[in-house]
Amino acid sequence: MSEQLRSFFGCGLDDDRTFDLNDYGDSIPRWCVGCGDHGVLSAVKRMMRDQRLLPERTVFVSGIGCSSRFPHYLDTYGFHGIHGRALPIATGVKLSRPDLDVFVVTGDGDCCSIGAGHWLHATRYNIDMTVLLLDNAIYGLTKNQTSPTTPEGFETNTQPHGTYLPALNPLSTALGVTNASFVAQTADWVPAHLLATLKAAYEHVGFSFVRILQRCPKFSAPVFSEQARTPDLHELLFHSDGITVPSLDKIYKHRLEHDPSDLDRARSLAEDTERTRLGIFFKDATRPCYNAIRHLPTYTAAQNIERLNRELDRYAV
Amino acid sequence: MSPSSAATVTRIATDSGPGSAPKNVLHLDEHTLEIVSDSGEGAQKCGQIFASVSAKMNYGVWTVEIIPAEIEPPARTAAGASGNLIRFGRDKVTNWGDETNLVVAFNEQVLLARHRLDALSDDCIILIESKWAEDPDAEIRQEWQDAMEEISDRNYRVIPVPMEEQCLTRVDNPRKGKNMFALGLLAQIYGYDVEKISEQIRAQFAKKPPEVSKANVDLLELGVHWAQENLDLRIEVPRIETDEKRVVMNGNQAAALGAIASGMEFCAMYPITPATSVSQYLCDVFERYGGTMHQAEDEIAAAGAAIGASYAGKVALTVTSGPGLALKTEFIALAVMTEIPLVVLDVQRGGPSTGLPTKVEQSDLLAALFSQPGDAPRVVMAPATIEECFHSMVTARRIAKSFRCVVIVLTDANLASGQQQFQRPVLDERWHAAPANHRAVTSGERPYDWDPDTGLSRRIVPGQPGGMHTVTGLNHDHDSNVDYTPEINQLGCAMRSRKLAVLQQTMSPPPIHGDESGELLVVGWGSTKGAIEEAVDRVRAEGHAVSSTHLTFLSPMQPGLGEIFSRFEHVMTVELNYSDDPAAPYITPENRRLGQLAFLLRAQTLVDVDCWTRVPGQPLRPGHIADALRRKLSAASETEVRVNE
Amino acid sequence: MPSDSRTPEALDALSGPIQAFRSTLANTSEQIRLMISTRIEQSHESADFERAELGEFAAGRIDAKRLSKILARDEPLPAADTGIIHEALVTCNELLARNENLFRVIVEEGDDLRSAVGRGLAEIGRAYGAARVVELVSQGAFRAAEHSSLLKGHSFESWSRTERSIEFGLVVRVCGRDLRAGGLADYLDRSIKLVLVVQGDAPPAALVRLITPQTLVLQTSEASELEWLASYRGPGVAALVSSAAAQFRHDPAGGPALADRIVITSLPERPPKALGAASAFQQRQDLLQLEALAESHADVVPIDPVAVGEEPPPAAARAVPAADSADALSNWLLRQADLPNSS
Repeated sequence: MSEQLRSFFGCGLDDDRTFDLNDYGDSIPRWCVGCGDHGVLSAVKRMMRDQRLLPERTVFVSGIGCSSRFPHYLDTYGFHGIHGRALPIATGVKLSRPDLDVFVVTGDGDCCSIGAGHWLHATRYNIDMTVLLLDNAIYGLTKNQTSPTTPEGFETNTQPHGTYLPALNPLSTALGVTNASFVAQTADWVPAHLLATLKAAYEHVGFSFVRILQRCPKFSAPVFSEQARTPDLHELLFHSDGITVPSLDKIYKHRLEHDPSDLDRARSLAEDTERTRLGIFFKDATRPCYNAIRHLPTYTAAQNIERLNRELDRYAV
Repeated sequence: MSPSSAATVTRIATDSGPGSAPKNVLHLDEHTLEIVSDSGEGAQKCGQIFASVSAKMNYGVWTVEIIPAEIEPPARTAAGASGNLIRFGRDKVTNWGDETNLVVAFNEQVLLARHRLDALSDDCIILIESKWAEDPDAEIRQEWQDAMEEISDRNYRVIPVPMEEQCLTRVDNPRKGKNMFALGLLAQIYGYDVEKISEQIRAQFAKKPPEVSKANVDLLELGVHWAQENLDLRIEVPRIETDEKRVVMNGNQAAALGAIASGMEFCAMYPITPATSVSQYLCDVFERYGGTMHQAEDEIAAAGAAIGASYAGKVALTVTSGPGLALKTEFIALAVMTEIPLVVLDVQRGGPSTGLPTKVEQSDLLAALFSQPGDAPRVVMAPATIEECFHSMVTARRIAKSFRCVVIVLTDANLASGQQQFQRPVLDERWHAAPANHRAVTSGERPYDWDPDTGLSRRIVPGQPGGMHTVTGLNHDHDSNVDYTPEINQLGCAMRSRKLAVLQQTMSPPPIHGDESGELLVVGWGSTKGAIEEAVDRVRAEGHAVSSTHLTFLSPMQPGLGEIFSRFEHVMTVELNYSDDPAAPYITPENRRLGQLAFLLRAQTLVDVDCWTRVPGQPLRPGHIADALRRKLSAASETEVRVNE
Repeated sequence: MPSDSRTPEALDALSGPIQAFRSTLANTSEQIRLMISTRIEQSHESADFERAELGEFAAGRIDAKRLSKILARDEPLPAADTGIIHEALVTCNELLARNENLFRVIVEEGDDLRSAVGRGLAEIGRAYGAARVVELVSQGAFRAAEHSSLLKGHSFESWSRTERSIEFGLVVRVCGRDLRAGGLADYLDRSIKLVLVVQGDAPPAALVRLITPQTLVLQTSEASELEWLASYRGPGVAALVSSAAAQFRHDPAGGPALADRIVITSLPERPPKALGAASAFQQRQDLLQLEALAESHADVVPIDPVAVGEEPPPAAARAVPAADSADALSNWLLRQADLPNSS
């Protein structure tokens, strides 16, 4: 990304730091035992270590929900905001500070329900950030209510006779938005794939949207339990420009080559099937990035005052 | 011209030849005129140019836009009246006054709109497009007749002017040129320098091809010439020369320029009337100063993006009006809780709900203070003049930064679109925001290192090595760790609240306009200042012991109010918001709902503060305020008489 | 004779990184100015400072004196060091005032290209020097004898890795006979972009010696071709030459094989003759090397930064490929070209 620095301060000192996983946070998360969020957290830390992210230049923004506790368990900068509104906050952070690496952690209720409007527009802005949708198909923090991605018929506290409507497909939704530039899916129970996806998402310059299927052992265990045990229920998308994880080839027999530049195919692959497809559905680094378009030079106060005085001349009497 | 118009129509004889001195010269200290047309006929532009030139000639000026609620209202309807009111005079003009003395109307329907609002003085001079009287359409001729009939109960002096007929001698589409012809009429009537006006026209059309300026100047000269030939009417208003450097602009321009001058570098907004022109102006110029304007997908996101930018090290601005403020509520609370500086500019309009989108009201005061669930203390300030719209942004940014708090600046549609001249600001580098500091955080520094006395603490922003923490809307301790214990929750609330007390302790009591003690004290806030003070001056001139004071800070409130109030027998607010009429059915002193400032002042001072408030969707008139003060004084003396009996 | 309009054209082509650099410089200057006002000036007259900062709206309403006592302030800087902070600010503003000229070097005829570029870089380095000086002062570690020279010139050799990662462009006007390009290899680190505007006759393929796996190398007579350099995220060098010289491009993004990366659009028709210090033989060698490289279908061995002892740059420079020094790669080059080491 080689983003422009805000100032030359700090540049004189060679930053030879290397980081181990604990440097990115060593507190013990308060998620339930067996929650998929644990796996996502360790994959995120591994990705940061491998990419040598500077903790002080990294910001995790989240909304509200189980997954949105994420920033609290990292030793980077974090902003635990309000329900559904992580993306506007992250937009402001990245627009004003292009030198920061910005991540958003959101859940299916946070992103696809209360924050859906922001999600759509953030996708279109295509601001350079990595967005992790931790989708457990349920409201967990408020204890077992139907979310937009809860499967039809699944019984919850708010729809006790079974969820009324078919679940929203976040991939199709994201792929339907003009100027989407990166859409991928992975799952907490395939750590190697998760890590590879996170890396690809981070490296993509633009709005990298990753839906991570995530188990909730407490409220939506049946939704993913069989799948997590059964590699045959998956189909891995692979491509030289996508993700290839050779170590998975033996276990995950169903593989499909998919060129992530093919949007039409990505859209059809994103439709629900019996097998869950993991991989990069779509990637296009040439889509315009709002933060790059809007990037502005900085001027000194003296320069600005000179200009503002010229502007005031227009109003002078 | 057929004599079909009402009897009051006068045709000024052209007995005085060109160049000869008009017989009819009025010498006045001030005059109020307005230009009204159908929307899109350019009356607003004509008014703006006239106002700018007046200001350049060192007249005191105050303008008010006459705005239809719709973009393209039907032609020739009262609802479609669009234009500009200009009150100008020898001395400083602080409000729009009581009534209009001269109108240029492009048709009789827009004139009727003004007439029905009681906006015109009894002896108002009316220059009106004459063609409608002889329109081929019988219905229109009838409408003209009816209108003339309707206004005939007043002593208006109606002067039909063949505007379109004249313009057609120069242009093909008179709809596009009448306004400049009208400007020519005014130039001649008020004896303005035509070259000065031409200059202003050229400046207005600087971005267009030179032919445009030329065509407009031609029409201006045509208007001047026609008036010389046909109008025996001159009005002379004296002026005082001054060397003071001044600028003239409207409140939204002033606020936008103030935001730039304050060094703010990020503004997020969503279009909303009447705040939009601040945003549009910033969209046009902000980038030249390295400032980012972000048009967000909604009001909520605008607040969120501003908070994100502030969190990352700036002090960001979001601009809105009432309904937008309602939507930003949750984010404002987040900024309060996380102590992220934020400046919110609320250009108030009529409410509740969508209310009166283009019209003025002061109804957001309580919402600005209290709209959040939970305790969310923040600073609220209200500029009273267009000059203060500029300077308040500098102070707002500074307070937001130093106190790590939300500052809401309340202006209104009256300030937003009114133009006034004021002393040219002398820009200062020290107003400018500090760029994000990336120094390493030393051990022991904490993100909420509250000073136990003041609640103040220093910000740590992303990029500072060693300062990593997660800010949260949940209750948190000094380290920003989530904490639900009773002690920490009590402490956090106290620290956020304490900052307001600290700010209040550095403030001075508001100054008194008039004597320091007396019978009645009028308290106001925001854009009503000029009208209130003019009303107070009039009533004082009648021998009454009336004074006024004007509050700039509404939260925390300036100190010393209780002591000031104790020096007056009665205290009342005058506000542009709703309160129950005490004489209305079912209304008792116990259930009467008061003006918003009155409500606050009673809570703050335990003084029995009365109020006189109105919601006309237009600024208050000094005459109406003066009447209310007189009524209050006489009611008070009656009560005293009763008590004495 | 190439016209002088090529220098402004080259500056134009690199305006992105140059403006970004200037913007960072402006911000640095602002921070120093602010440090002066908050940690030097305000410590003398804090109430006045507070009053000014609060603006006119607060006049008569907020007691600046009282407020300044309440608000926490940074510690004042030691009086002895205030002079050097002012000098640092003057340095930044002086560099800013030079506009694009800061990124322009003219090599006098007969002068050494390498040292002229080095002087240009040392001038730019003063911006880093200013930031360093201010940091040293605030840490209480500033020693005038040792550090004040940073403001006079801060040579490339002493730049830190991050300083070398900051992208900008330098446009160098040089006579063809002085085009001893090999000396520039030392400067092609990380993000730096050099454009040589070559005057008069020149060795036909002088830049071939600068080809390394991660360095974009371009010889062209068309200024519009500089877009290749401007859009490349990594070190690069381009020479604007006359149409008599070889026209070629080595673009690391072209593919794994050298044949895919090197595109030769034109080779000189006449055999070279001795020019300045470059003998006809040497010039022929350059051309042969170019042609040999362009035909090599062997994959470029991916240089694993860790394997060659080079850490990837910190994340602030995420997409910048890690460059390696030219020295470490000469063997690789020769191997790729399949030429014997003839020297």
